[in-house]
Amino acid sequence: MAALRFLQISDVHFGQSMRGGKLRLPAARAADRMRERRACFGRAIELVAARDLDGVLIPGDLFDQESIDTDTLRFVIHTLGKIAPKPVFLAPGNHDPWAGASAYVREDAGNVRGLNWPDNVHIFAHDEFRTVDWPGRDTVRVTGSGVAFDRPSDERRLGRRIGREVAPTEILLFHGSRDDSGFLQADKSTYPFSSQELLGQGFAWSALGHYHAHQIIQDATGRPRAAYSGCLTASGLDETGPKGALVVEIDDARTSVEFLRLDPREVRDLECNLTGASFAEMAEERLTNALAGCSDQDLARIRLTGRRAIGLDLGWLDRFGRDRFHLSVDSSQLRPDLDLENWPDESQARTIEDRFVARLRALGESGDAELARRAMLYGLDALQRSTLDLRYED
Amino acid sequence: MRLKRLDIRGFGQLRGVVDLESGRGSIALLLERNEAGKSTLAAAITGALYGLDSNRVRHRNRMTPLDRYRPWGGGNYGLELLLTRTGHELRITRDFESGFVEVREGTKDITGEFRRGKQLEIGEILTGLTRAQFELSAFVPQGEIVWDDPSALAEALQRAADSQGGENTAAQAIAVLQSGLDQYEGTTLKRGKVQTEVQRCAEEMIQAQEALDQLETRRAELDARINELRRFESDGDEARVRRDALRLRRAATDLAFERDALADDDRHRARHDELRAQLAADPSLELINEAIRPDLQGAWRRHGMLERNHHNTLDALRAAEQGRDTGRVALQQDALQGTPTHDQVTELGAWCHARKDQQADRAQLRMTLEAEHAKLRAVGFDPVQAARLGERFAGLSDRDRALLGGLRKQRMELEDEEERLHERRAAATIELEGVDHERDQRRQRGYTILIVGLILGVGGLVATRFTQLLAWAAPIPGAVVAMVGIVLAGSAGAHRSAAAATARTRLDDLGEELRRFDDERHQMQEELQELASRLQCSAAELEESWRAWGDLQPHTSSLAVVTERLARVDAEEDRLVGAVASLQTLVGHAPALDELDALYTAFQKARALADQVAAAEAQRVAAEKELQEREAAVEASEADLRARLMDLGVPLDEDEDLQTGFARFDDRAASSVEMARIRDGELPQLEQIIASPEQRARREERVVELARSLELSRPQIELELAALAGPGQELIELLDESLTEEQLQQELVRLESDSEQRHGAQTRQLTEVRSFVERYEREAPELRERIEELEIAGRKARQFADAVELARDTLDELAQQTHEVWSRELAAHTNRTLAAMGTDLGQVQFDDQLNLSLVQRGQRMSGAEARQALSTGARDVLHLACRLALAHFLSAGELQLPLILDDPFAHCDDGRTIAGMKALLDSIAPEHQVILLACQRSRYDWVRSQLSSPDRIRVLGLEDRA
Repeated sequence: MAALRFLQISDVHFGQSMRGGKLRLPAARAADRMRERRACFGRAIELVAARDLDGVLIPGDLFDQESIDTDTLRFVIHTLGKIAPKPVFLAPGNHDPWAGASAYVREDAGNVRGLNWPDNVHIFAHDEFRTVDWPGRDTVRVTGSGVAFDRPSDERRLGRRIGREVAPTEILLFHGSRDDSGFLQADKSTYPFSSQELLGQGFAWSALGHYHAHQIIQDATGRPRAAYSGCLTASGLDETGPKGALVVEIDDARTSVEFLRLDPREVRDLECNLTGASFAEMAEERLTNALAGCSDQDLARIRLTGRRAIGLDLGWLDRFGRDRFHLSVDSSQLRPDLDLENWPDESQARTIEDRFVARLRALGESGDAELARRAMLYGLDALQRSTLDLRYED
Repeated sequence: MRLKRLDIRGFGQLRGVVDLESGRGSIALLLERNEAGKSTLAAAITGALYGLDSNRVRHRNRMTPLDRYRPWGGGNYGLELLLTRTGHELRITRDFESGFVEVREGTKDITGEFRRGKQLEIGEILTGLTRAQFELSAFVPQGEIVWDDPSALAEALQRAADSQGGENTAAQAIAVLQSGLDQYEGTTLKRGKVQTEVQRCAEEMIQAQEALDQLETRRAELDARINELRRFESDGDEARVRRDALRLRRAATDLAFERDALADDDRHRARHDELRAQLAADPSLELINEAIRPDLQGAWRRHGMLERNHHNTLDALRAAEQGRDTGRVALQQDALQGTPTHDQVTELGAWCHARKDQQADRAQLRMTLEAEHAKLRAVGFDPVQAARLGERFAGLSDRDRALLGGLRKQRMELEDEEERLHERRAAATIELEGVDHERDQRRQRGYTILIVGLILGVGGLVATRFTQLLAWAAPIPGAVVAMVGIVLAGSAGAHRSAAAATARTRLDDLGEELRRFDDERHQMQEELQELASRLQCSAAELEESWRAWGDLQPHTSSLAVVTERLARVDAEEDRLVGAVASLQTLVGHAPALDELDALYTAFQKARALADQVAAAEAQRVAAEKELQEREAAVEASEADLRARLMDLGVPLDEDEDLQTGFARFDDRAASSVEMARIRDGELPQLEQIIASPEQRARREERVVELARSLELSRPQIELELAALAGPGQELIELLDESLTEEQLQQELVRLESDSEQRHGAQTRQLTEVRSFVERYEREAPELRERIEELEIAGRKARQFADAVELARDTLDELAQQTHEVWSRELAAHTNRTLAAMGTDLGQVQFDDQLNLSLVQRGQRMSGAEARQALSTGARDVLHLACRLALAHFLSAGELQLPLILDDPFAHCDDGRTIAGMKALLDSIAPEHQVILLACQRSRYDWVRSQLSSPDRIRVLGLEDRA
C-alpha cells in the first residue's frame, strides 16, 4: 500500500469564550486569542497542501457548542472547502453534537442559515458507526459516529466489536474518554473506553478526540495505533504545554506520528512561594524567578503561596508583568506570616488581634469556614498594612 | 522572672558584667552620668530576651537595631543574661553577629523549649509579652514623647491592646477595611463602594438575563414559527378540504383500481391454467431442448460449408488444367530452339544493358576528343605532333625525366653562381686598392711627424746656446716626435702587407669554386648526350623537343584520359561479341550485337510461358489432392447428420436429402421453443402477478373498506366543499366521476400552484427567521458570557464585602470590648499607683479609645488640657503610673516583669521623687523586678537617706563593671 498521510486535529472549540476560568483573560486579550485560534486552524489546514497529505481527520469538538456564530461557521466551511477534493472526515463531539440546531445539519435537513458544508467534508452525523471510503484511496475505509448529546455518557461503545466490511487499511474517528490513563473525571465521561478495547477493534489508526492533552496509544509491538492530538490551541488553565496538530503516516510496515506545534503561546500555571520574602524587591525577585522559562507571549497564571511577611508591601502586584501578553496573579492561597495554628484561644487572648483571630477561628469551626478564613486574612492585613492590596476570593 | 546578671561581650559602648539582682521588694539603682550607656543597657536586656531586629522593612530603611548596637570598638557582638524563673537559673547566650542563641538551665541546653515553629521566642515565653508589648510596658525610656502628644499615648496604648506586631491600631485597621469596602475595584466600576459593584453586577446581570431571555423567548417562538411554516400546507382550511376532496376522489380511483386488479387477477389465473394444460400435452420440449437446436443448426451450417468447399476445389482443379495446356501450346509456337533458363534470360538482359552503355560511352568520348583537339589547335599545337612527342617521351624512365627536367635548372643555377663569383673577385680587387691608398696616407703622416720632430730637435739645440738651464734636455722633444713619425711610416707598410695577403687568399678561393662549376657543367653535358643517342636524336634536338613537350603538357592531360577510355570501350565490345556467341545453340545462329534486344524479349516471353505452365501443373496436383479430402469430409458429415436427426426423432429415407430432414426438424424445434417460452416466461410472469390468497383477501378487504369509506366520508366532504366557493362546486360535481390519472394530475398541479404561493410566503418568513437566528447566534453568546462574568464579579464582590464587613464588625466589637476592659484596668491600677506615690493629681480615666483624662474636683480634663495644667514632674509621675499599670495589666498579675525605668523622676521635685520611690518599693517592687536608671548620684543618695530602709535600694555602677 502506498503510505497514507493525513492531518489530525481536534477539540478546536470554535466559539468558546476565553474570558472565563482562572486565566481571567481581559476582553482584548480574549479577542486576540480567538483570532489566533482561527489563524492556527488555517495554518493546520494549509499543511494538507504544503505536505501533500491525503486528507484531514477531526474527531470532535470542532465547535464549543451546538450553536455557532455565522461568521465562524462560514470561516470553517470556507477553510475546509479550500483543500477539496482532499477529504475531511469529521465526527461531532459532546460539545458540538449533531442533533438539534447543530451547525452540522445541512440546509435540506433544517439548518435555517442556508450554509452548506462543502462536498469534500464528510460528517458522521449519526449515532451508529458507519463506514465510508476514503476518496482516491481504494484500500482505505473510514469508520466513525457522532455524539448526539451534550451530557456525559457511560456507554462503552468500543466494548463490542464495530460491525463493518473489512478493508486493508481501516481508520476510526472516535470522540470519547480513555479511562485507563488516569485522566478521566468520573462525572465527565463520554463514551469511555480502555486502550485494550480500542486496540481490540483492529483499526490501523484511531483518531481520538475529547482530551485536550496530546497522548499516543501503542499496541503490544510498540507501533502507534491511536492518538489524541489534544486541543489545537490552549484556552484553559489546565491546558499547559505546546498545542497543535498531528501528521500521521501509515504504511504496511510502520506508523509514524509527528506532533506539530501550531499555537504560538502556551499556558503556564506557576507557583511562587513568598515565605521568607521580607521586602518588596525580594518578593518581586521571587516572582521573576518563578516566571523564568516562561515566554512573554505565554498565558501565565501565578499562584502566590506561603506566608506573607508582616509589613510586606504587595501593592505593586497590579503593575507586575504588564509587558507580558497575559499574567494573572492569584493570591487566594497566600497566608500572613503569623502562626495562626498556635494562636492563643480567646481565654488567653489579651490583644484585639488575639481575640479577633480566636473569634473568627471559632466562627469558622461553627459556621462558614471560608468566610471566616477570608475575614481573618483581611482583618490581619488591615492591622498590618494601610491598604487591602490582596484578594482572597477564588 | 528576675534578671540576675548581664555579661556584655560587646554591645554599643558597653562591655563587661552588670549585676542586676536586687532582691524581691528592692530596687536596683544604676547611677551613671548621661550618655554613659543606660539606655543601651536597657536595649541590651531587651536584646538578650528578644534578639535584635534586622528587618529593614519594619524600620522603614532606617538603621536597624542590629546595626545600631554594633560594638563601638569592634570585637565580639553579643552578651549573656543570667536570670531566674520559678527558682531555676537560666542563662541566655546570644551572638548577634553569627545569630547564635542558646538557653541553658545549668548545663542543660533547653533552647528547644522556646522554639515555636521555626522561630525562637525566648522573651515572649519568659515574659508572656511580645517585644512590642514588652518595650511598651516593661521598658520606660527617658523623655518618652507620649506626654508631648497625649494622643500618642492613646495610640501607643491602643497598639499594645490591639495588635502584636502590626502597624495599625484596631481603629486604623477598621478604617483600612472600610476603605477597602469603599475603594473597591470591580468589573462595573473602576473604584467605588463594593456594594455598588454588587448592586451593579446584579442589575446588569438582570438586564443581560432579560435580554437573553427575550432572545431565547423569541427563539422559542421562532421554533414554533418554523414548525408552523412546515405545517403551513396542512393547516390551511381550503387546502385541507381540497386535499380531502382529492383523497376522496383518489379513494374512488383506488377502489376502481382494486376492482380492476381483481378482474385482472381472474384473467391471469385462467390463462395460467390453460398454459399448464398445453405444456403437459406437447412432448417436444422434452426431446428438443434449447441446447440441441443451436448445436444441430451449427452442424447443418458446417455441412453446407463442407459442400461449398468441395465445389470450389473442383473448380480450381479445372482452371489449373486449362492454364497448363494453354502455356504448352504457346511455347511450341515460338521461334527459339529451346526454352532459356532464368540465368540465361538474366545474363542476356545484362548484355543488352552493357551494349547500350558501350554505345553511349563511345559517342560521348568521341565528342570529348574532338573538343580537346580544338583546344590544342587554339593554343598553337598540332594534335598530330603532340601525339608524336607523347610517343617519344612516353617510354622515358623517371631518372631520365629528372635529368631532362633538372638540366635546365642546374644550368641556370650555375650561371647565376658564376656571375656572383665574378662580382666577388671584383670587390676583392677594389678592397686591395683601398689598402694601398691607406698605406700611402699613413706613410705621409709619418714623414710629416718625422720632419716636425727634426725641427723640434734642431730648435732645442739652438736654445742651448742662450741658456745653460736644462741644456741637456732641449733636443729630446724633437727626437721623440721624429721617432713617432718613423713608427707611423713603418706601420703603414706592415698594414698594407697584411691586407694584401687576405685579399689574395680570397681571390684564390673564388677561383677554385669557378673551376668546380665548370666540372659539373661538363658532366651534365655528357649525360644529356648519352640520352639523346638513346632517343635517336641530337642533344640539342632533345633539349628542344623536351622543352616543347613541357610547354604542351598543361594542354594534353584531358586528351590522354579520353584516348585511354576509348581504348577501354573498344576492348569491352570485343569481349561482349565473344560472350553473345554462346547463345548460338538456343537461337540457331551466332547472334549479332544489334539483335540482342529482340532476342532478350523473346527469351523473356518463352521463360514466362514455361513458368506459367509449371505453376498451373502444381496447382492442379494440389487441387486434386484437396478434392479427395473434401469429398471424404462431406460424406462423413452427411452420415453424422442423418444419424443425429434419427436420434431426434426425424428419420430420413435414403432417397431423401438432408434438406428435407432439417425442414422437419425446424417444425419440431419451433414447437419446443414455444413450449419453453410458456414454461420459462409467461407462466412465471403469471405466477408472479397472480395474487396470493392473502393478497387477494387483503385486496378484497380493501375494496370493501374503500367502498365503505367513500360511503361514510362523502357526505362530510360534500358539506365542506359546499362551504367553499366555486372550486368546491366543481369538485362536488367531479366526485361522482371516476378520477382519471389525467384529472388527478390536473388537480395536483392546481394544488401545487397553491403550494408554491404559500411557499413564497413561507420563504419570506424564513428569511426573517434566518436574520433573527444570526442575531441570536451573535448576541446570545456575548450575553451569556457577560452574565457569567457579572456573576463571578458579583459573587467575588459579595464574598469580599461579606468577609471585610465581618472583619470590620468583629474588630469593631472586639475593640470596644477590649478597650473597655483595658480602660477600666488601666485606670484602676494607675490610680492605685498614683495614690501610693502620694500624688494629688485627681482620678485618672480612660475612654473606650484609651484616651486619658483627669478628673480633679469633679472637673474632667482631657489629656491635652491635663498636659497644659500639670507640671513636667507631675506628668512624669502620671506617665510612670500609666506605664506601670500597663505592665501590670499585660502581665496579668501573674508574671514578674523586669521593669526598666530610665530616670522616671528626672523632672520631679524631691518630695514627689521620695513618694515615687516609696511607691515603687512598696507597690511595684514586691511584684516586679525594678531596675532604675538615673544620673544624679547625689540626689539619689539624699533620697536613700530619706527612706526608712535605704538598703532596699541597691546602687550599682555601670562604669565600674563595664
